[in-house]
Amino acid sequence: MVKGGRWVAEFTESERNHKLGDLTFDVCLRGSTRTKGLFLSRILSYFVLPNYQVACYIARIPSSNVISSDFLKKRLTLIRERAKEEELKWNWLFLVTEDEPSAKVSKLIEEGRGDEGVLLYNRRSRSLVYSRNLLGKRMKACLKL
Amino acid sequence: MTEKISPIRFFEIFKLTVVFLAVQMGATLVMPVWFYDIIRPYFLFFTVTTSVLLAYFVYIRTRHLELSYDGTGFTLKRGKTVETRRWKEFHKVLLVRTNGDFLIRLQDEEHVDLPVSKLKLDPFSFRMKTLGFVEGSGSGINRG
Repeated sequence: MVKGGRWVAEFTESERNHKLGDLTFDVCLRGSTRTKGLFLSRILSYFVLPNYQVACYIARIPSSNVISSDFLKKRLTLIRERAKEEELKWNWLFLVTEDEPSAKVSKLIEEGRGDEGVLLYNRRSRSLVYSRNLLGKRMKACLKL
Repeated sequence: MTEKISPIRFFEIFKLTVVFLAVQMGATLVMPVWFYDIIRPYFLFFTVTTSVLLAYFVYIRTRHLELSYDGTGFTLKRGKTVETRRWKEFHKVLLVRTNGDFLIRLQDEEHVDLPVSKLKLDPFSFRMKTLGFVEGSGSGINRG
């Protein structure tokens, strides 16, 4: 929401401790794919960019070992339900951990099924594992971590 | 303890001053010549002074912001408009960015925006403070 950077979406709303079903995400960012900016930027974004509503759910997890297919499925199902209710076209699930994910966990995330971008960031080693779908790759390309 | 924030936004006064200055400059075009001849030696001084005074007056009447808050609620004065609310009336706290300005959006069925950038507050720390007030007020915060 602050400073520049490569563009993934215009996030305009942030909420701490966002509750989704019985889960609480540390941060939920909401926005759209249309930039605001000055006159020419607005005209350009109006004609060139799609007007998708987007959301990014960020959660800290104690360890990457808690990630399993059920763990991801539960979160992604809730995210999909919310996306359907509120017409959110692009959604990301961003997990932050302190330890190195195992090969199994990395594979699980990389193979992420569905359209949602799933990312796992290791704060200690600053490494990122991401789903190899469009949104995962897009977020990976735009992040400066 | 009540905290009060009411910074003077000099840039707003400047913008209004420029508008009033332009209006007065334009007014010379329709002014009787004899009157213009009288005021001409003092014209610049007169227009600048009146523009600044008018701008300050209009700013205070319509645009000046004052926020006072404590653990139970807040009062937001926008010019002559006053809005007093309690933290417990809200269940959701959002940080919103609109064209470079940050707002704290307090949501219930309706929402109230606290213009933190205009109040020269740090949006991120004030959001946490507000969240603390709303959660502490026992509003049964629903973060969904």
